[in-house]
Amino acid sequence: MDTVRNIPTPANAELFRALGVLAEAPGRQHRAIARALQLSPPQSDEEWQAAFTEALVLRACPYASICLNTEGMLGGNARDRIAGFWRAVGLTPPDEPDHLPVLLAAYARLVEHCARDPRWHNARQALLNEHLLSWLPPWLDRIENWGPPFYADWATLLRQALKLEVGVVGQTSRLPAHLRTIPAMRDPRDDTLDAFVGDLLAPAVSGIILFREDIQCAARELGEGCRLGERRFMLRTLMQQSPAACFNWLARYASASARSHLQTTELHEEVARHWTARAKRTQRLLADLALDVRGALPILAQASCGDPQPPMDTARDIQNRR
Amino acid sequence: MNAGDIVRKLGERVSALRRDTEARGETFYPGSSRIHLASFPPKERWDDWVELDSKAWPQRVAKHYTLVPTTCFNCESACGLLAYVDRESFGVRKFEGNPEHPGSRGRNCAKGPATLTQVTDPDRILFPLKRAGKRGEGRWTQVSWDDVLDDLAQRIRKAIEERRQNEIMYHVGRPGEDGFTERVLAAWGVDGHNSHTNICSSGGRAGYQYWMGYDRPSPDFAHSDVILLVSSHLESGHYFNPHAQRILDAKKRGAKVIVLDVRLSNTATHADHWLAPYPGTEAALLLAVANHLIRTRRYNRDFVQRWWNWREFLRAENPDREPVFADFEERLASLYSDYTFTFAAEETGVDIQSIETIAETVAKAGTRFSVHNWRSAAAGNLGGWQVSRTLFLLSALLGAIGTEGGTFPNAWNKYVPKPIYTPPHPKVWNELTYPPEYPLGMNEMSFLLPYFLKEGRGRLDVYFTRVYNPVWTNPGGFSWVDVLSDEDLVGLHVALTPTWNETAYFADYVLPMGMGAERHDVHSYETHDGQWIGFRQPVLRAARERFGESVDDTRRVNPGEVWEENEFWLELTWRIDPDGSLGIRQYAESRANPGQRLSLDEYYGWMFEHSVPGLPEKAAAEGLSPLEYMRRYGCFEVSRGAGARHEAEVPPDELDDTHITQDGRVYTRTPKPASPNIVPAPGPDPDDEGRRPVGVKIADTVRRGFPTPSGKLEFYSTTLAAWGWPEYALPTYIRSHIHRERMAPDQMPLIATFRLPVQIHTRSGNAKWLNEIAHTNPVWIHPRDADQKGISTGTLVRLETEIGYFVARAWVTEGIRPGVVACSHHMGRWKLNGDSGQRQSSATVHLKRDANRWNLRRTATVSAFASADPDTSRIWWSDVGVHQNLTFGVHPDPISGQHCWHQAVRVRPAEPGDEHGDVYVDTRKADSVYREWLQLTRTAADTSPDGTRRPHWFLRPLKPSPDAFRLDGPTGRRQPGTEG
Repeated sequence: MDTVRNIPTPANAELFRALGVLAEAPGRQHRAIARALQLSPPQSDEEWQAAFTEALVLRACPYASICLNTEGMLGGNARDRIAGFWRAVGLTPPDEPDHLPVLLAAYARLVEHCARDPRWHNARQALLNEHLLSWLPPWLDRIENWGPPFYADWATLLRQALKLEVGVVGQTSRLPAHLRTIPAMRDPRDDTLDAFVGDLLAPAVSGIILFREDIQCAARELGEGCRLGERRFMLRTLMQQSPAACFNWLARYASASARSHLQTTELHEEVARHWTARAKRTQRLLADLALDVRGALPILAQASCGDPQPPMDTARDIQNRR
Repeated sequence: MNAGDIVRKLGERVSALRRDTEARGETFYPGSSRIHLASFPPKERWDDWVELDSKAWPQRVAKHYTLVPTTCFNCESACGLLAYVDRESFGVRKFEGNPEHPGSRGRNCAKGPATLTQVTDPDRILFPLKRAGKRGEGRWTQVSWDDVLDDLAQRIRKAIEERRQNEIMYHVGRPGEDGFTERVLAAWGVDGHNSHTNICSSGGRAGYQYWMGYDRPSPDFAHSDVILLVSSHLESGHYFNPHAQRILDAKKRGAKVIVLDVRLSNTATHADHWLAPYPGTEAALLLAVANHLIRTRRYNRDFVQRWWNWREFLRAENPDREPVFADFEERLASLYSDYTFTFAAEETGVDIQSIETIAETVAKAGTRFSVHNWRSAAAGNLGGWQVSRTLFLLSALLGAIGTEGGTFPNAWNKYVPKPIYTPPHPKVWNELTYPPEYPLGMNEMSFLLPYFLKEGRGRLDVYFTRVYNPVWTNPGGFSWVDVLSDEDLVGLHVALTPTWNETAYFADYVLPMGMGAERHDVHSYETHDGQWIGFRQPVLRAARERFGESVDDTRRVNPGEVWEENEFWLELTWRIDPDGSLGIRQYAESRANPGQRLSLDEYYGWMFEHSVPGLPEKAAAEGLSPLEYMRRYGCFEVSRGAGARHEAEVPPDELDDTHITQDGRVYTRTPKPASPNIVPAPGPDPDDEGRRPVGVKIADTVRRGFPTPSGKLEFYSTTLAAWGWPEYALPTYIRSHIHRERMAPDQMPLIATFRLPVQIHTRSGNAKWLNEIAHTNPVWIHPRDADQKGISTGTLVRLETEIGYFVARAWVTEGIRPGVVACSHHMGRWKLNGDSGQRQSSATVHLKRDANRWNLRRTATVSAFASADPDTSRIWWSDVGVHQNLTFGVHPDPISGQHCWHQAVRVRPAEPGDEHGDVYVDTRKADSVYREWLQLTRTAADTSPDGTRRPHWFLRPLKPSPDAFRLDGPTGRRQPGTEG
């Protein structure tokens, strides 16, 4: 599947490849690529590096597995499934087959192959629908609304490019395999608090993507203290301080997420429905818990298995590995 | 413009920018920072690469580097390195991987970056030294290169003039440039090449050679579905870094890896199936797999019928009957029917189910099946060469040869550019390296040299050891000390070495040679299915040339007076024959400036201009000469994807006046077409009328085939049958010298062949970073055995061999098969004097000799010391292991000539008074062991079918003239009672 150099690269392939590269740590070549895409990167290299770290290292790591796994963490079944796709099309899966720049580069290659041989269409459609559109609509939405300006613009452009691509390749009618077997959100009254918090932080399960800043924002709005730590720890301590208010805040957040997801049907209708339904269900559960704080209290009193040193969350984990 | 148009337009803008950027020869996409090679500096910025000075932290001080490629000189893989040369001080700051290198692809093991510590080693040899006292006394005086060269030239010239040319010997450990020194010896008319190969890979090579003529495999691991390794290939094999990364690529794709190893090596830990057979029984297990393929008819029948020499086999069995393939299949089934899973399980000690499982895995592999065995079992056992032969049988049964994901002959994936001069081979035969008892010995019988000298088979007037340390590396090192100390047997010993070693202590001259970053070599290795050349170069020379300086002698830029061998050999050759009267000087003379010595710029400039297809064009595209291109990038990919070359049709213009045998071997009168690639290949004999073999006829087409006598894959070796070993002409199982039946009840096999992943024999002895990681070699012993013997981890144990014993510490581990012990050969370095030699890796010892009894005992271990390198004050380790090889007798396999390393030992807790590292050896017993194994041979005088010393078609580094091949041919040495 090596690129044949003497065949012109289709413009959309080049676009996806360039967008993928911009989701990498910025280096010398990135500025020229950004400008070619009419994006305005931060003025200095250091500012850009800081923006990148804020957006794509600490806030929203661009890995499909984080959004699609039932644990909300790197690796797992979602990564294996994507690695399987690489193998199925005759490619050796790279070290991080679900990393967005890698996925976009692979997609660019499939676009190029399709230009030469239409038999690659199915592979192109599968990568787009199964492994990109299954998680990118809600993820991009968060970047567009919460990211530093450069990355917000970048996310908008990627969304537009995906939309155009859907027009060419077509949506599949089935829910992507990643999302078909996602278990339901667990009720803390029937399970543990850790399990409940874990589900909340697993986007494919809860239908919401919670950044660290979201939890800090909740604490500010509720007038509560925010204990620093990984997201799991922050969220749990916030719940323990003011359960009803916290559940209500999260329910409102889930409701807003559901509304946003509903706007993404143009990318993939079934995916939009899944994320919307998940967010609504989470909203209902949280609203119910807010009304039944007494029922949830014994659970909230549980000590976490992570106390006093909560386990690393995914963003921290990745940051440390770097 | 709608959103779609805008997005499309943006894509086009990026495409245009990319085209412009790449047209300038620059990198557009930086690649991913987490994967691939993005962290490497883009090649267009190699001239001025800026990094912050880590030592200036917290200040942000920019350092400017010029990045110069070279190749690693530690193991044979020759992975690409990039030297970061400080543009101000012209010092090398660090070595990292060269992303342009097709073999290593920018990745290195620990040994690559550790080159820096070898370059800056405060104990390295910087000046030519001459012995001052007695040999081994440790007293030296600095001498000039001129004096050394004149002395050597005079001595060598005299030997040549007196027709004692074979009293000159060059004994090599780590090869440098493909064929360079062989050509130097050929120019001198000397059959004096000696290698380390018979203590290394001869067993493995023999198994491949009898099948396909070529003696090395080149597995296409990256595209395999099933990989079968009889080795620890992910950590230490040839060529482990390039191979390991491709094996892991295959694993990521879903390939299955099967490893046979007595130890739980790092490779075994990455295997899908790890089987630990009793050492020496590997071939039995492999034949059980073969039997499974045959019995279930899941072998590639078309391939077998097409490419095996089954007709010759049937004809040999029944000369009166016309060979029919159906008969062969029937015979094939019966030949291996005894190798049942039950038999294999009993013989190997591996459970039946595991053997069945891997047999099924292999059966399903099809032609995407690759294999490798190089040392390991093939180097450990009597008959070990049948391990690689039976391993390759599986490839041959599946037709997985020359296929994608299969195994190739190495020469198809190797490129050796023809140099400016190729002198003819010598007219004499050296019986010290190719003695009559070993006509089928794969390579020089190097480790028997002391015994041959002591027996009076000859003497050496000038003996070069070059990056070679036989006293430490070879079995029975005290016999080497014995001989090297005797000036009657070795007139002058010249140690060419970058660093001190146990052999150099017994030299007359110690001449400092450059590390990987201080010398030139061109090389090519079969790392994958492709051909490339790598260019090792003195990086400071190349860096200075980038800044406009002209450097015509590498000594000008190397530390002290460290030289490089290629310039040394050219200069020595020039001085041996200053007036050209011996006909030698012509091979060291400039073509551009007759009368002057050939420079390395001219030598490599000519080679890259004339002998590397595609290189001149690629260089021109960047406005560079071919030599400038190689100095800039350090490598060039010649081709990718060899394909099934044996299937290639021979063009009609090569088929003049052909003769075709009844089995389809085709001979032609057409001379062999000239090729710029002079990769070594076997040379099957011509027919009776002098036609050369050109291919084999299959159906109606003449195809290239293999360079074997039959032109096919030789399931049946006519060579083995004709040269006195008919019982081993087929792939079979030979019970090892350490088979249970041959062991006393209180003996155990000792596995002594494995390497520590970050070390590489003695060459890495001065790599501080590597020594910190691995500096000792405990004895691996299973808890069950340890309990029985009252041994625990750290206990001092005495291992008694047939010629002596050594004392080491035990490591109790389940990572070794019960009933077997293991000890890596890497450690136990020593020096005789406290202040000279390698202080970071070598213990100081006292060597006591009482007639034939030798004792070695430590008087001091390593410790921190002050030097120009502050790190030497931080040496925290003191245990440097034990030198076990001293206690091994020589075990030459009577066919392959390979030293069979495994030992039968008695293991028990150390005795009172024993100390860690103690070694005791009785060299008289060593002599007895030598004679016992010599009894196993069948000498050429009795077995040669044609009055020659060795099958002419075999590979040989130097191939003497046909006259010298005859048993009574010239030996280039003074015979007793004659004038020469």
